[in-house]
Amino acid sequence: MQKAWIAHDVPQCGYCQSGQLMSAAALLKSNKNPSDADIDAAMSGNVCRCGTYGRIKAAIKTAAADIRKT
Amino acid sequence: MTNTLKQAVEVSRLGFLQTSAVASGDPMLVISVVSGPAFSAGLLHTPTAWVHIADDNTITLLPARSEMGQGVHTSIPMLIAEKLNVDFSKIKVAIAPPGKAYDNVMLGGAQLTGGSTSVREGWESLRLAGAQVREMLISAAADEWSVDRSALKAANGTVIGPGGKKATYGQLAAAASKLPVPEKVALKDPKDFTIVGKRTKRLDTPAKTNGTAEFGIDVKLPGKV
Repeated sequence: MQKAWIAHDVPQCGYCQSGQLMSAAALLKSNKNPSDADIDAAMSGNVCRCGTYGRIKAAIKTAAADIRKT
Repeated sequence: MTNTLKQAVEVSRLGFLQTSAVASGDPMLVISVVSGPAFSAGLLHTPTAWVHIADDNTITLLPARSEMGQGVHTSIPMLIAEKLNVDFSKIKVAIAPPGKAYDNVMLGGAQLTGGSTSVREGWESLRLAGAQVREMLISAAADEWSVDRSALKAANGTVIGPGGKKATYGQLAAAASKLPVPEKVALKDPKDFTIVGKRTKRLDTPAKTNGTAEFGIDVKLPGKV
């Protein structure tokens, strides 16, 4: 997860990112190939005031693809 | 509490209030410290307020503006590194302490972050800071090898002289730090930029991703309310 986060340069201020990472990790534990709707639903409890949602979604997909490969 | 510590606490409270006043567009003030000082082996040398060089050639650049997500802990080091000629992927970043050298002339001369001034205000002064340290390192090498400065080149954290002579910035830093800071130094022509204007990974991303970044809420000071 952290590798994908760094590859996409996800954080701006960074304040919410520990929580974002934990929610994303929980999602990928149960769903290794989440759709946009799955990601939106699973991540809806984590607000990012910088608005990094686009990169969060991209990083989750990258991490999911990495997990599927291993 | 010792007097010095008390003063330090009072200064940082004042700094906090000033910063929060300027950053008041954001109700949740976030100050993150990407990394602390002291990453290096050996003595740390300080040719100027902006650049610390350790014996082991670890180079730490010191942005004096708060990183709040706007990227100044990457953009300010880029400006300093441009003519210092160091490997940007290897530099370390530490937030500058309070100090007159770090005042923001666009915000009334106090050490403040805000108003989209960080890069505009530092555009010349930070590039000059990097160029000055480079000149000091070259002068130190010229003195040591008794050669003319014009025979020397500085690149990638190393000064190279005639006949294969070589010294890392770390090896020259102690002598360079004793030299006066040159006032008039030519800046790099923007067409020769190798760092500024190039897409660069943010230097604060790893710490903000692995949980080691320190935010205002993480800071504990004696007597803190």
